Amino acid sequence: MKEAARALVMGGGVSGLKAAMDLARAGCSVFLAEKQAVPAGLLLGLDRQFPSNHCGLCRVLPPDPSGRTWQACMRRGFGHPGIEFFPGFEVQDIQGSPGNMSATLIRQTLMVDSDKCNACMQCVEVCPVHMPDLFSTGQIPVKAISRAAPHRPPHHLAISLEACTLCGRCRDACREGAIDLDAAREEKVLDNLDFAVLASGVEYCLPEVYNLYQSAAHADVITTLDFEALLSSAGTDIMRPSDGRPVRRAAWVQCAGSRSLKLEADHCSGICCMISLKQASLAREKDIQCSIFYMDMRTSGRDWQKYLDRAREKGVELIRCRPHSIEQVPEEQILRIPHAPSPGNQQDRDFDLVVLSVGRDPAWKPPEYAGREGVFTSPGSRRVLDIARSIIAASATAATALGEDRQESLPDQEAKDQDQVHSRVLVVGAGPAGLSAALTLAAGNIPVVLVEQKDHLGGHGLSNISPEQRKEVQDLAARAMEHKLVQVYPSAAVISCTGPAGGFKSRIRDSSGDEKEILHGAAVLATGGRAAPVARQEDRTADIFEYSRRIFAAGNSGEAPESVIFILCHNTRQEPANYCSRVCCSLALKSCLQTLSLRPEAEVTVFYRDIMVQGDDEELYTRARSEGVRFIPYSPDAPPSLEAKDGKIRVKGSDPYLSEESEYEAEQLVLAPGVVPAAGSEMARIFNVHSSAEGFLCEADAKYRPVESGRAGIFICGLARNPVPFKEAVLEGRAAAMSALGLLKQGLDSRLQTFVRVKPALCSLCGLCLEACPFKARYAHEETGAMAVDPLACRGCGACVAVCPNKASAWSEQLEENVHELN
Amino acid sequence: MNSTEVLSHTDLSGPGGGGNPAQICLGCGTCASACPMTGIEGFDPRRIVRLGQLGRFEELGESSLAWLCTMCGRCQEGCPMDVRITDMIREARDLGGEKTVPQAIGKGIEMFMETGNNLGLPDEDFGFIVEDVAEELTEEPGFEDFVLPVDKEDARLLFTLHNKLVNTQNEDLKHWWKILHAAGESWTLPGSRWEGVNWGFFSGQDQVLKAGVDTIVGNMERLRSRGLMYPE
Amino acid sequence: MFDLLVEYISTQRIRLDRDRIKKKAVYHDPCNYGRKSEALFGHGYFHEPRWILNQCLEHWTDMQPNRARQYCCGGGGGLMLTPYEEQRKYYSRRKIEQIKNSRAELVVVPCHSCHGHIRAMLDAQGPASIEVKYLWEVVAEALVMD
Ligand code: SF4
Ligand code: SF4
Ligand code: SF4
Repeated sequence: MKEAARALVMGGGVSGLKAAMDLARAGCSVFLAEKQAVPAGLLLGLDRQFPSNHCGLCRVLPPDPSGRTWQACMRRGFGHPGIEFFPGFEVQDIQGSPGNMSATLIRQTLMVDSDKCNACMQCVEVCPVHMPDLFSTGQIPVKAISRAAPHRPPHHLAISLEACTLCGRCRDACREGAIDLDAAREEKVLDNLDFAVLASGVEYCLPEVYNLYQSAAHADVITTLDFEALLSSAGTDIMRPSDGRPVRRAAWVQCAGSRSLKLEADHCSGICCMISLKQASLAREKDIQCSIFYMDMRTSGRDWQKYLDRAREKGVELIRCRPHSIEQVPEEQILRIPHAPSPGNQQDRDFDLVVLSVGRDPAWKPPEYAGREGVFTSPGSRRVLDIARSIIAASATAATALGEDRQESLPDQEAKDQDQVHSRVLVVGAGPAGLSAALTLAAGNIPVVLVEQKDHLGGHGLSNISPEQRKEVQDLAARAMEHKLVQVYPSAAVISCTGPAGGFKSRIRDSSGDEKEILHGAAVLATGGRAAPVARQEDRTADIFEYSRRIFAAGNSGEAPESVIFILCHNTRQEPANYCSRVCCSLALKSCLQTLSLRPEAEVTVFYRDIMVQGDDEELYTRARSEGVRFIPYSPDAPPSLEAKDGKIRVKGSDPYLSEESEYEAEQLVLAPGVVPAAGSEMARIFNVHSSAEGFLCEADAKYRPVESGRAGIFICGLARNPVPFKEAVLEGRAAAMSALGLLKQGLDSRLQTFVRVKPALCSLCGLCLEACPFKARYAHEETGAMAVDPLACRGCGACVAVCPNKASAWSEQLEENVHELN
Repeated sequence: MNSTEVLSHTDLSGPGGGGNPAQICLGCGTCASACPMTGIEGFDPRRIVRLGQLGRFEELGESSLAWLCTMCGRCQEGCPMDVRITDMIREARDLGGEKTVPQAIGKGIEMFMETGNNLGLPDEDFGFIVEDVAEELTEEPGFEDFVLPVDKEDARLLFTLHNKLVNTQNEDLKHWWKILHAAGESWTLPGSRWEGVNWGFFSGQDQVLKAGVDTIVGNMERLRSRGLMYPE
Repeated sequence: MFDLLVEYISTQRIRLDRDRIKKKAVYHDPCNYGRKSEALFGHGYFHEPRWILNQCLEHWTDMQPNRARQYCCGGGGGLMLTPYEEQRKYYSRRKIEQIKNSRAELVVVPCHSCHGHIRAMLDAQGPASIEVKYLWEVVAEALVMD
């Protein structure tokens, strides 16, 4: 492995931070450029996130027993031993080729010298440039020179150079000489970079620019970003911007700036539905009447549909209608939304506040250098992603960058078994996620044991409808078979896993019943998923996977039925399988289009609840409609009814637009029952990790540690964890590998440092600490039965110290002092 | 309004390309929120669009849906998919056939095709009405020397009229006459075929629309006017 | 039509007295000159009539919403000529609300259909005391003749 690759990370939001920390843990020297004065990007304004409805930004930090970054609030600042942070700088250009790139950084934010500043605010007073107020609530004017961030102390001021005219008034007003405007032209050049990771995210849509709902004319029409600010500064009430009166009735309007051909925004921003649901849920706690105007509620994540149900239970009202305009009732200071909640029915609703749910700016494009060789762009810098997916994408991008960087320099050495036992990783499952994980680890010089139940590698990836993606999986499988660091066990299964992180012992059993013990430091669970079973009356019924495979099988020379009816969300997205499977909608849309391209006169009808496509996949939906697919919404309490008669399928359903109950006949019925985790809760039991009611493996922290299970050293990814499309499964596999890699590398360095210890003389072996530990860091030693602490899992929370009745569980000597100080 | 634009009204190609442009409808409800008629007798622009999607134009034209629409275009202004709802209405009204055209409009059109105005008013009577109003005007201070320029050749502007001014609201003829007089404009009022309202636009019937346009063009040629003033 | 009036006023071919009409007026954008003209020809007559009004009277205001998002009077598309009277009233409730909300005593419109329909609807359901005038009627009333 090449020593200390030099990596540049662009963007200090949660993605950039994650990528930077992963690269640093993998041994790179990292340079991190962020145009704001402080890290955390958009999250600075979002201080409560779903599903937990609070902040957890700090949890993205790796556990670092040295205490240097441990549990620091990132809203206040950021420091990491392996990362050189350039706050206030943006990358203007990147030149050169991988291994020898140079980047020019220019100042975007100028920091006032906080050692000199005494927070007199004279500078803010005299600054003539007013700015849009992103974080505060309108009480304090925001100028080109302002507080660096709301959570920063008042003497941390910063100047936004995008707005600043360099007039010099602030400098002249400052009696402490804390402002150095000459530094505004400061440039930095970073040379000899091996690669760069772009993780600066996307720009959000400003409704004024597109004149959405005439928001500029109404002070009380704000965006979801503004609402976050209102929420975080709110006490018992949320005050509205125009007159400071408490908000009693609030509306959210979805898809502001998204899903419109008129705005050239044929995309879904993907996260706004969940943001609005969260905001409305929180607002309900303040006894505000909340209504969300939507078209499709895109709850496309494992737990999101349940989150929506909870929001509904809390009293959030969902109205399926996109409003045309928001009217101001003069004098009464009321915002009125005429809307038509069901066909042929119009109502007016009055609100005190209307929140536009904004997403990606339709005109936004990634910077020009995004496509250059050696610049790795995180998918989160192409489209809007939620926090967990941003983190996964960032980690995976870091992994890809590292992997490619090492390609030539990878030493072809055999895995040294015995003495490297702790650095070996067990990967369970060889589908797209598992293969990606295995190869990422191998590229990081970590030996891998890859266990697959089937006799071949590739899993569902092999039956993917896209030839490119099939090829990708075949390549991955071939590379895994050949790689010297990857030891493949086909037709085998893991039956047990014991021990702590860094020293796991697992047994695998092959098809002939032979068992083998494997020692490994970490494990990646990627056991995949399968289609949920459907009850089929006869052979004219297929599930969406079968149908899509069939119709895509013969390329453009295949045959298509003359009429086909799709029923989406068939027995899913309701109890007991209350989640969106995320793959069916786009697969159905692709199949509709393929059907029509094989047979243009075919009649294609789709019964759906919400069409769940995200990002640019929205275009599929638009195309399917414009090519004549008929979409009929249904509600889960009145699903279309099925009947097979004379070799035809009959579906009875009602078209709400026509208010007519009709019978539709088709040659083919396609049902989308969703996916279920292939191994179910079995995996969870063997590896002693949590799983959901449906058998999906659960992470420790759904937002900030999405690929880590609750048990240290066990990582989860792909369909085993949650329903994901192919590309995301690959990203999750890489991200899980990256986390495993980081843990092992860092863990090996710091094995001897622990937060807590066990004093055996005092221990009564009562086992209370085993249950008390939220990180599963406590275990009973296999042979002696003595209580032990897994240093890689322990976070030093002290729960075991508190619970122990015998004072046998104690802080480590180094920490004892500090703890007493705190007491 | 430019006649060629009007006549090509059945160009229904929407941004989605392909067959029927109504198909691209998202069912979002923007149009239904926008339209003041939504809600009465089940009226909803989404219904109109759905019928259009299914090619059921005739049924649409025969239903009250097509005739309750005021073609105000508010729905279309908001539609994120740029579905041309009012174009669809005109198409449907035409396909619905003559029997569905409301009586008053049908009658007016019949009259227009026969006599050149929607009222079926003989030119003689028309002349009498307008001259009468003109005379009244000369009694107002400042307009004593007003002369109504009927069929004046080579005038800069040809003025057509809305039939209601001739029919019941004669007083309202005076406002423009006053302004034109005060401005010293060179203008003329055709003594026949003065109708400026084209109901073919409402009924969706192209041949009526065209006849209306021809009338005006004919007048302009006959009187060699350079410009046209149109009530609508 | 708007262009002609603007031409007359701006080149001073006619002169106007802004003090004659004392009533508070409100302007209605007809669909055809505004929204539809904008969609069809790329230019909606939104600015011109407002400019003309400014020359004719002191107190006038806009309806909410206005311009491209304005509500139709309810008589467009030939509907005025149909027997659907109840439906027209239902439709026009929006317009009447807008007029009432504006607190104006005079509605100015530059369209024959709108004029007729708003008048009829005010008589049928709104305050009948509110006057309806053509834009050119307002101009004619403000004309200074010497
Ligand atoms: S459907 Fe997509 S674009 Fe629309 S609000 Fe929901 S997430 Fe955003
Ligand atoms: S054009 Fe017709 S359907 Fe559209 S808003 Fe106006 S009246 Fe309603
Ligand atoms: S506004 Fe357009 S896309 Fe939405 S329902 Fe109406 S016609 Fe369909």
